[in-house]
Amino acid sequence: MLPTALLEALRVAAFGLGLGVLVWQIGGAPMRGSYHDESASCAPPVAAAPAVGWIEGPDAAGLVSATEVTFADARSIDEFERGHIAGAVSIPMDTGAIAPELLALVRGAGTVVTYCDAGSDCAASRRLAELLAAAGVRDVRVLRGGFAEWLAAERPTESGPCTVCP
Amino acid sequence: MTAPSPSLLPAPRSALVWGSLGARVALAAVYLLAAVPKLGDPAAFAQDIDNYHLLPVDWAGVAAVVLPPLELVVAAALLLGVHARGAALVSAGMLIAFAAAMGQAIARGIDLDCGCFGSALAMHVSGWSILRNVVLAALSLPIVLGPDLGPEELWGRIRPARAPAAD
Repeated sequence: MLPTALLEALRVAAFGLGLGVLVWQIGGAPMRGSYHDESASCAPPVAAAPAVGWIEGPDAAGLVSATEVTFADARSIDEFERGHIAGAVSIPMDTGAIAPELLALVRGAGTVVTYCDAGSDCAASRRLAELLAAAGVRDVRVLRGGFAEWLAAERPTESGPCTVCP
Repeated sequence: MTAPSPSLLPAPRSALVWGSLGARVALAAVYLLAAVPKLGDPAAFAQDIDNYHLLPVDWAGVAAVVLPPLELVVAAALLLGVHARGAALVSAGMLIAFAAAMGQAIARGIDLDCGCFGSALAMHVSGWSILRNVVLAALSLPIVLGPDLGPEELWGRIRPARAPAAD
């Protein structure tokens, strides 16, 4: 019974993929520029909140020890504990919302820099920036290049749980 | 047609028949819902695939046009009962592969929309979307293990069987 099913599976897959390739050959695939826009990082990080801007890695590195600047890590708590920008607070975007008690952490900051991992396309840091701006934080920036670039440039990091988080 | 009417079937076989039929219709509906928005906007689907940071950039565009027809073929096979078992296996394979893609995205801290139903239904990738895929993949079991209902038997069950020809 199972071998016949496997044979059928091969036929279904071959037919489906063949049809897909036919569609591709006739209609063509979307051009990479239409979905992978390398210059997109020049556009504002959050379309809905024009006040939110990018901040470049070297500029942000100079602000790590500034007391009026808070770095907000949008990645999961696990990733945060494995390593994060020195002095950053953890505001995970796992659920797509900010926990209310975490909002109080950044309310008082003059500037909040959000970051996550996946380079300039990182959606979590932009989402966090959008939420913070909507919550009334005046100066919100998104770190261009995220944590990956920060690590590569050997800028200050630390690991372990967020000590100031509730 | 020689199939006995469902009420005469012993209970386990009957349960498998209806479980298999239900699973086929449910999976086919999911694939139809999934494929149609993607066919309408391949660039948006390519963007969703690209966001997984799994395939080389140019392959994301190709995958965006090749996957929806495959999903449609699987849906058609499940609905029509032509190679339904094979389609169920392909379906399980796709769902597990997609779940793996979601898992690697979560593990790498990539925050993204799953793109599962195109951009029509934006859904955040999470443990729940992986669980959903596993449940859908499990729906293949009654189809693969259940009786192999060909098209004529399936449609015969839904329409009243034709009166047997006089001998």
